[in-house]
Amino acid sequence: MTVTGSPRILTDVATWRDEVVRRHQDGERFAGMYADATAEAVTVTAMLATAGRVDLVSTALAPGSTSYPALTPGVPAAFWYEREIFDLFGIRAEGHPRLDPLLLPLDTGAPRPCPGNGRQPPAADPHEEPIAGHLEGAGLFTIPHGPVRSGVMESVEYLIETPGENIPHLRVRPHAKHRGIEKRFEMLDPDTGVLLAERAEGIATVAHAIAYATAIERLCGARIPPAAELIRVIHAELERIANHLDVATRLADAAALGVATARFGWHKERVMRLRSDLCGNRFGRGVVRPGGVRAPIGMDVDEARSAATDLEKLIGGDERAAMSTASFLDRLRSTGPLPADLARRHGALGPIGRASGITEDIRVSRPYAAYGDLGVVPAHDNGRGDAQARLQVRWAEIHESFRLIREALTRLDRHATNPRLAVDLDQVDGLGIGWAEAPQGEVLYAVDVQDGRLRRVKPRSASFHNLLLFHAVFAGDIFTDFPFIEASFGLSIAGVAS
Amino acid sequence: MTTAALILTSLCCLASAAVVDVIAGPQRPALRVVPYIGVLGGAVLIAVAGFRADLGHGGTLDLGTTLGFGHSHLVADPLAGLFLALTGVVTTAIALVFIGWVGTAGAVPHRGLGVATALAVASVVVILLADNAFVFLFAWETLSVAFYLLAGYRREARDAVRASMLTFGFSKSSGGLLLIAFSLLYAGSDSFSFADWHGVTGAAHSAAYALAIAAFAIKVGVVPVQVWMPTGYTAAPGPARALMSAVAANVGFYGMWRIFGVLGTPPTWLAVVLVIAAALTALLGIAHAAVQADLQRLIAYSSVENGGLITSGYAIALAGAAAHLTDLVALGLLTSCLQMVAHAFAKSSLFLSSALLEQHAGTGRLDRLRGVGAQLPWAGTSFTIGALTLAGLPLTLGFVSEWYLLESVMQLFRLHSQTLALSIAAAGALIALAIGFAGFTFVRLVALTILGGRGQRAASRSAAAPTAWLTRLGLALPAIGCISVAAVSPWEIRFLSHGLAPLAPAHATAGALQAPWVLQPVYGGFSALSPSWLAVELPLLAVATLVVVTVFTRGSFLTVRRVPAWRSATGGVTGGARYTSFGFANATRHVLANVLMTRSSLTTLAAGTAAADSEFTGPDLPDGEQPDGAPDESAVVLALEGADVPGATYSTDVVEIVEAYLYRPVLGPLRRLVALAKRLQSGRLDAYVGYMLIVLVALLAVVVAMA
Amino acid sequence: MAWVARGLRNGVVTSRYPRRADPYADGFRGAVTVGEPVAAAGGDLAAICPTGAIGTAGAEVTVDRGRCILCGACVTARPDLFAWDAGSETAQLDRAQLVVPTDLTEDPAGIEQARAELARRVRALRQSVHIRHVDTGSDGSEEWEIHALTNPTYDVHRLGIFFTASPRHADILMLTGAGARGMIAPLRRTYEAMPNPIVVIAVGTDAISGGLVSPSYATSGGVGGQLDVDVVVPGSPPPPFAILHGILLGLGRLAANRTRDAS
Repeated sequence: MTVTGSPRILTDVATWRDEVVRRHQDGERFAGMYADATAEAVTVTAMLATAGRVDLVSTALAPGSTSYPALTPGVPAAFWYEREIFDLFGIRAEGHPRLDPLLLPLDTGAPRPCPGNGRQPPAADPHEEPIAGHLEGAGLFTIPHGPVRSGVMESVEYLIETPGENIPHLRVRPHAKHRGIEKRFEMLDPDTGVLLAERAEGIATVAHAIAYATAIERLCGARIPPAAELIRVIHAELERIANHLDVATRLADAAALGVATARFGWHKERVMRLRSDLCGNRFGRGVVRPGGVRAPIGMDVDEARSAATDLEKLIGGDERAAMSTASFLDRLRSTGPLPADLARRHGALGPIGRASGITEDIRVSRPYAAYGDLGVVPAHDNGRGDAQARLQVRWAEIHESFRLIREALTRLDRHATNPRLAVDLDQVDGLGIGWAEAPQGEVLYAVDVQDGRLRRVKPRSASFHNLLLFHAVFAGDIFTDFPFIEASFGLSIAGVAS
Repeated sequence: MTTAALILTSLCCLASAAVVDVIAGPQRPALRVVPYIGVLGGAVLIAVAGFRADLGHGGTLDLGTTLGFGHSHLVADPLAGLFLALTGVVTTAIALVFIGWVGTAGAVPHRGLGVATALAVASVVVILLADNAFVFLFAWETLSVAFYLLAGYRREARDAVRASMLTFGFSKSSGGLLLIAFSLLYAGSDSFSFADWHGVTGAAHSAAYALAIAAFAIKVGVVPVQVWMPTGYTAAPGPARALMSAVAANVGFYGMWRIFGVLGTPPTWLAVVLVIAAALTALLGIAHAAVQADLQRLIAYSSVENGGLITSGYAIALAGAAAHLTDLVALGLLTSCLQMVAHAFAKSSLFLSSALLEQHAGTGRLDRLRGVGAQLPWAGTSFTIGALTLAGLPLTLGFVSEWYLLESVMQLFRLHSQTLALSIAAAGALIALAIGFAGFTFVRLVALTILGGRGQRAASRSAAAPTAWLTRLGLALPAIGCISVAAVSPWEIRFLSHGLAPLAPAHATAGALQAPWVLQPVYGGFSALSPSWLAVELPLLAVATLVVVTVFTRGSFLTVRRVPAWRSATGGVTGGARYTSFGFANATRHVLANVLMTRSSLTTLAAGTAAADSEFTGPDLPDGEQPDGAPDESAVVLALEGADVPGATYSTDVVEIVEAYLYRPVLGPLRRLVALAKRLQSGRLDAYVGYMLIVLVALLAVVVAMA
Repeated sequence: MAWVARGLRNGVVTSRYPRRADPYADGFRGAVTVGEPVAAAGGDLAAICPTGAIGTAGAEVTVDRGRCILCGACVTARPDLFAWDAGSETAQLDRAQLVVPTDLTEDPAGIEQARAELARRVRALRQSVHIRHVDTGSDGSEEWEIHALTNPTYDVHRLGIFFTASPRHADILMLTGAGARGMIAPLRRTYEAMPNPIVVIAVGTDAISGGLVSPSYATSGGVGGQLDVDVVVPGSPPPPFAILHGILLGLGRLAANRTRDAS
C-alpha cells in the first residue's frame, strides 16, 4: 500500500495555523482535528486528507498556554472540532466565532477530562443552561426537539428557531449523551480497545473496528492474512446495507408508506440475521481484532452467496417500487438540499457528500482491507444534493455492496485451504492512523500506543463531521420536512457525542 | 310615548351629550362620564323605538321644508325599525363600557370623543330614518366627520393622521358617489324623495344602482374599497372601534337594503359583480385577519371578512331579484340580516373586550398578549364568545347565520342564468374557504391570547382591573346576545321578517320557519336546522358524557396530577420558548401564500449579507421542479458558519394586494395632480372670478343640454 | 395501489413467539454461561474479562450477565470453564438473578415480594401497553434492536405493544445506554411526565451496569442509580427477542415455567 499517515510536528503555533489554512485552501480536505494532553504539554492536531494520504499536522502549545489561534475563520469545517477541544481540554481557540459548549457544558474553571493525560477526572455533570438564540425577528420562538425524541431514537436536542412552519435556523446540542469514550480508551490494551471502538458508534461497529485495527496494524507494519481482509469486507458491506435499509425504512415511515416501511424493515431484519448467522452477533461485533479477524464465517460460502443474491433481488424490487411512488418522491425531491460547493468546502463525507457531487470514496482513494483487490465502483449522483439524491446514492451503494460481498465470498472460497485468519502483532509504541468507509462516511482513528497500552485514541466518526451540515440544509424547508432530512442524513448521535 | 317622541328624545339625549363634552371636556372626572350617560339614554330609547317600528308601530317626524329641497320627514318604517333596534341594543352595550372606560387614567386625554360618539350615533339614526336624499346625504356626511374625529382622536398615535385622512377620504368618496347616484335619480324623477324614485328606468337606473351600491360598499368594506377599514378602525380609541364597526358600518348595509327597496330589480351584471367582489372580500379579509400580529387589526380585518359575507347574502338576494325568484330574495336578505346581527353582537363583544384587554396589558401585540382571560375574566369570556361566534361554532349566532349563508349559496341551481349560477358557485367556494379560515383565525385568539399560559414575557399590569358593574353589563350584553339569540333564532327570524317586509313579502321570509322551532332555507324540503334544540341538546350531552365518564372511572377522571408541560425533556431554551401567536398563524401565511404574497428573509447586519429565501413569491413561482427557495450561497454560509453573526434577523411579511397593486401605483400621479391643482389657488382675486365664470358657463351648458 | 399486492407477496413472515418457540430466538448466541462448577483453578480469571463480569469471590466461578458484553474473551481463553449459551430469553426481574450460576442461598422471599409488587402494578396493563423509550447514552445499536420490534418479523403490535412519542401515554419506560450524566435530568423529567403505574425496563448491558463505557466521568454506570428498574435485559445489544421477552416478563404475560427456563 502506498498510503501513509505521518505525523508532523510544527512547534510554532502561528506557522501551524497558516500551514493548515493554506493547505486547506490549496484543496486538501480538512478531515478533522483533535487535541492530546500529555503530562508535559497539549498538542493540537489537524487531519488533512489528500488522495492516498491522511496527514496529521500538529503543534505543541507552550507549557501553561491555554489557547491557540482558531482555525475556524480560515477553515469553517473546524467549527465544531474547536468547540469539542475546548469542552474536553479547556483550550480556547482565539478568534473562534462562537465557542459555546458542544459535548460537555461545564462551568468555567471546572476540571476537564483531557484525554491522553492518564489521570481520572472527577465525574462531570454538564449544566443545562440554555444557549441564547441566534436569530431575531417578529414572532420567532424556539421549539426544543429533544433530547428525548419522538419515537425510538438516540438522544439529541435540536433547537428549531422558527416563526412557525419554516426552519430558518437550527441549533444542535448533542451533549446529552456524551459518554467520554475518548477518555475510556486510555490505558486499555490494544486488543480490548477494539471492543470499545465497536461501541463508539454502534451502528457502524465494523467500520470503527476496522479503522481502529488498521491504525494499530499500520503502526506495527503488519499485513493481515487475505482471508481476514475478505471477511472484514463482507461484514463491513453487510453493515452498509443494513444502515442504508434503515434509512430507507425511516424515510418510508416519515412518508407514512406502511407497506414500504414494513418491507424495508423486514429486509433489514434479514440482513441482521445474515450477519448473526455469519458471526453470532447482529452487528458484527467481535469479528475484527487487531491483526485479523477472530473467526471464519459461520456459514457455508455458497449458502451465504445465495442468501445475498436472494436478498438483493427482494430489495431491488421494493426499491424500484418506492422510487416510482410519487407520494414518496414528492417528499424527498428538493428537500434538504446541500449545495455542492458547500459540500466540497466542508468535506462532506459518505453518501451525503456523494449526493452533492463529491466523488471520493475511501474504499477507492485509500483502499484498505481487500477493497484494493476487489475494486469498488463508487456511487455518485448528479449532485442535486437533496434527500432523494442521498437515497439514490444509498441504493447504488447497496447494490455495489452485494456485488462486493459475493465477490469476496468467492475469493474466500479460494482461501479455504489457507485458514489463517490473524497475525500476531509486535508491541510497537507510536502513533498510527487508520480509516474505513463506514455507511455514514469516512471514519478516522488516530491511535497512540505507549508501553503496549493505549495512551490516546481519537475516533473521528463521519457522523460528527457531517452533522454540522445539518445547519445548512433547512432553508426553504418546513417542520414536516424535518424527519425526512434527518433520516436522509442517516447519522448516529453516539458517533457525534462519543 | 310614541315612536316619534322616543326618537326625538333620544336625539336630544345625544345632542346634550355632545354639548356637555364640548363644554366640560375630560378634565373634571365627575363630568367625564356624562356624555356617555347621554349616549346610553339615547341608545336605550332608540332600541325601544326600533322594536316598536319593526313590529309595525312606526312613526314619522315631520321636518317640514326647513331643510330645503322639498318636504322631508324622519320615517320609522319596519326596515328602519330593524336597523334602529340593532343600533340601539349594540350602542347600549358600547355606552356601558364607555362609561367605565373613560374613568380610567389617560383613556380620554382631551375633548372630542364624546362629541364624535354622539354625532356618529345621531348620524346613524338620521340616516336610518331619512325619507329623502338630501337628509340622507346630510347625515351621511356628518357620519364621515364623526369617523374622521374618531379615527384621528388619538393624536399622539403614530399613524393617527394617516388613519383619519384615509377614513375621511374614503367616506368622502362614498358621499361623492352617493351624490352622483342621487343626482341621476333626481334627474330621472324630479324629486329628492326616495318614494318617488320607483319610476326611474333604463341606464340611469342601472348607473344609479351601481353607484349607490359602490358608495355603500365603501362603508362596509368590500374589495377593492376596503383598504381604509383596518387602519381606520384600529386607530380609533377603545370602545369607539365597536361603534364604528358594529353600529356605524351597518348603515352601509341599510343603504343597500333601502336602495333595493327603492330601485327594485337590479341589472344582472350588478349581482354578478357584487357576489364575486363580496366573496373575494371575505377571503381576503380573513386571510389577512388570520396573519395579523396586532389584536385590533386582526379584529378589524375580520370586519372586512364579515362585510364580504353579509354582502354575499345581499348579492344572492339581488340575483334572486334579477331572476324574479321571490323566495331567493327573501332567503338572501334574511341570510345577510342574520349575518349582520351576528356580526354586530360578536364584533362589539370583541372590540369592547379587546379594548379592556389591551388597556390592561399595555400592548396589542398578540405575541405579548397571553392568557389574558385569566386576568380579566369578564372581558375574556365576552371575547371568547364573540370569537366563537365569528368562527361559526354551534350554539352561537354565527353558526346559524353561516349555515344560512352556505344554504343560500346552494340554491344556485334554481337560477336559470348560467352567469349568475356560475358566479355564485365560484363565490360559494371562496365563502366556504373564508368560513374555514375564520375558525382557524379565532382558534388562535381563544387558545393563545385568552387561554394560553402566560409566557416568559408576561404582560405588564398597567391599569387596575375594571370592576364597575356597568362595564361588565356592557361586556355581557353582546355576548349573551350571541348565545341567547341563537337559542331563540325562530323569534329572531320573525323579527327580521317583520323588518324586511318592505323588501320581501313577509310570507316568503317567514317560510324560513319549517316548524315553530325548526329552521329551513326558505325553500322547503332542502335541509333543516334547529339551533334551539342544539342549545338544549349539546349542553345535556356534554353533562351526560361527563357524568358517565366520572361514574365509570369511579371519580378518578376528576383527580388531576399536575406536572410540567412535556417539552421533549429539554433543560430549557432562551428567548421565545413557546409557540407564538405569530408562529401559529404562519401556517396560514404559507397556505394562503398566493393571496398574501408571503415573503421571508434572513438578513444579517454585521456580515452585510442579505439572503431572501423567497419560497413563496406569490403567483409567479412555477410549481414543481424548482427547489423551493434554493438557499442563496450567503444564506448557507450564514447558517453554517455564521449563525454566530450578531444581528441575524428573520422576518416574514405579507402584502396587502389591493393596497399594493391598485392604490400604490396611482398614489404618485395623484400626488402630482394635487400639486398641479394647488397652482390654481394662486390667491389672486381675478383668478377666482375667472373660475366662477367658467363654472357658471359650464352649468348653463348642462342645463341647456338637459332641457 | 401496487404496494398492497407487494405487501401480500411474501406471505406471513411474523414470528409466533411467545405462543410458539422461535428457532432464531432459541438458536441465538445470547449469553455466556459457566460450565460444570469447577473450583477457580489456575490463572487470574477475573482479568480475562474486560468488564469485570467474572466473579471468583465465592467457592465457584460466576459470570455476571449484567456486566457481560458477550465479547467471548472468556470462552476463547478458558473453554473448559465458559461456554456460549443459546437462547434469547435472558431477561430477569431481578438484577441479582443475572449472576450465573444463580446463588440459590439468596433471599427468595425478597424476590417474591418484589415480583408480587410488580404484578400488582401491572394489573392495569393487561390489555395494550405503550412504551416510551429513552436513550441515556447508548451506542445506537440498542435503538435499532428496539425499533426492530415493530418490523413484520416481530410485529409487537400483535401483542398490544406500541411505542409512543408522548410520555403521557406511556406505561413502560424503556431505557438504553450507560446513564450518561447529561441525560439524568431529561430522564427524570420523562419519568415524572408519565402516569402511574410505570414499569421500567433497562435494555442492554450498558443500561444495567455501564458495560465497557464505564467507569467514566460522563456516565453513571447504568441507569439503576437513577430509577428503580423492574426488568433487566442483558446483551450488547440484546436481540429483539430478548427485549420482547423482557417486556412480556415485566407484564407478567409469560407462563411461570417459561421464565424459569431462561436462567
